[in-house]
Amino acid sequence: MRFLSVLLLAALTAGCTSGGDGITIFAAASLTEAFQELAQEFEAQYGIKVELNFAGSNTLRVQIEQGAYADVFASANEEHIQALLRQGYVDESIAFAKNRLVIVVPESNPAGIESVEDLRGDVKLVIANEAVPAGRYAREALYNLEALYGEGFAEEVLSRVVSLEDSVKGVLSKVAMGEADAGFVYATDALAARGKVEVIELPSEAGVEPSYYVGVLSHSKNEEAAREFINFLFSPRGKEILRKHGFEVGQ
Amino acid sequence: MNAFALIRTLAGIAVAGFILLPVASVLISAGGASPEVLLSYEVVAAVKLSLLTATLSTLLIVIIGTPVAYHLARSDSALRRFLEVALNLPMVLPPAVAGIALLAAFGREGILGRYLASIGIALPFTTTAVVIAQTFVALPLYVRSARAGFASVSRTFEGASYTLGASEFTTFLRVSLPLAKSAVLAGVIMSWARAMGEFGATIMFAGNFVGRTQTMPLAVYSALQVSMDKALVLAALLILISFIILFTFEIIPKRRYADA
Repeated sequence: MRFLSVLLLAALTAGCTSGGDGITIFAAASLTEAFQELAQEFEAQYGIKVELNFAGSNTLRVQIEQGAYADVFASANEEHIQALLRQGYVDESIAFAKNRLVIVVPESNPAGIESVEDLRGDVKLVIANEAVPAGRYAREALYNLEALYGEGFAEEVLSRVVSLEDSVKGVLSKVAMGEADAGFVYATDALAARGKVEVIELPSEAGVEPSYYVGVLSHSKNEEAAREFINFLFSPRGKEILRKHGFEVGQ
Repeated sequence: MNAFALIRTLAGIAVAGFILLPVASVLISAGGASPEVLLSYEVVAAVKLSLLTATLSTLLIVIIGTPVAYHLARSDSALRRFLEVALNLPMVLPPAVAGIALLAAFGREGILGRYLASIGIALPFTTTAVVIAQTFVALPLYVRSARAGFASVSRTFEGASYTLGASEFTTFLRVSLPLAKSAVLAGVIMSWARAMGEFGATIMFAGNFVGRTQTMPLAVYSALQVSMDKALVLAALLILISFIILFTFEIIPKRRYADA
């Protein structure tokens, strides 16, 4: 009986790690590969254990609002971190990297897509849902492109959407598997899936500039280590890793 | 009260509380949400789609599952055992595995899907894909239940029917099926409920699009990323529907299966 209760207690407390020696980072799905490498390097350099949780920035925001524990939040747009800032969940919002929105098609390009204009045709398009930064940037880009392709262009392209994914990685995998003909993702995602997808750049008139923001959570029990991580993002080595994964960072 | 009775009572309270508390919490929290949410386009579309697809897949399951269940109950070959294990697989597969399996088979680049694609049939992202996903996971529930029902029907009755000149099919329809009725009905209800709750295979294989492939569970998941209110209302609706289904299941008169 005592053995059982000890076991139960152990199981219960195991679920509530963090706060002690390590830090928990909630990061936008598009940061997956870069942050995995950053965390590894950071752990090695500082001896601080890092736990990572990737999802659409909107999902992470809801998780935080519902009481999930994290020390650092890295968002793929300003909206979600600003919302947390207003509610007092984070103390600041620091821009640390930029990305580029692109179209990806499967390597075999079954719908023969050459430019964003071809998305008007009979294609199976996949984008992230509207709450996900990548989904919002995609819609913004399409509406901005009406200046180039005429009014109604965005609606026309959006009528080709067959699935709204919950993160940009969901979009990428549907295209990489060849199930969808095209999808809107970041240049960094396309880089991570090279060999499986082809990239089609958007005209500059698309006018979106995806930016990443990071902040320490107000309830962090390990603020010092959390700050170390953010400093690490801005260190030469940190920038080098971000650049390697296709992000644009300042000098 | 002796110690054992006390333990049973306490465990009973703990278990009931453990199941009821989360369920009740959803209902209570959803009560605070604004009623417009209930009538919002996404919610209405999800409810309609769920009812439609779950009913279609249950129909499909009954049509293809009944002969198989009867056969399994009557045959005793080695193939039968293999078939039975294979049929039960979807019940224990993690949702993501079921999704990948369906894509690998019926996806545009899937084993069978690539031939379908070459004649212009693409299943992913369609309502048909939703029905396929639901059928895949719910079929075993029906077959298991119906098989047990048929197995409990004594062969003496079937024998008597044959002696009186009835064909095998007539015997099945007039003797075996009526005698296995409650088990078959239980199977129908369980598979319908399972189809209503299908999530993982659907989101992977059919995608997530309002009105076309976004069933209630997918809508709960999508809503959770935006607003807790909508998610709670949908979750409460699903709980109510599931409760009604299970309650119907309870009041169906039960037979005892000697050798189920």
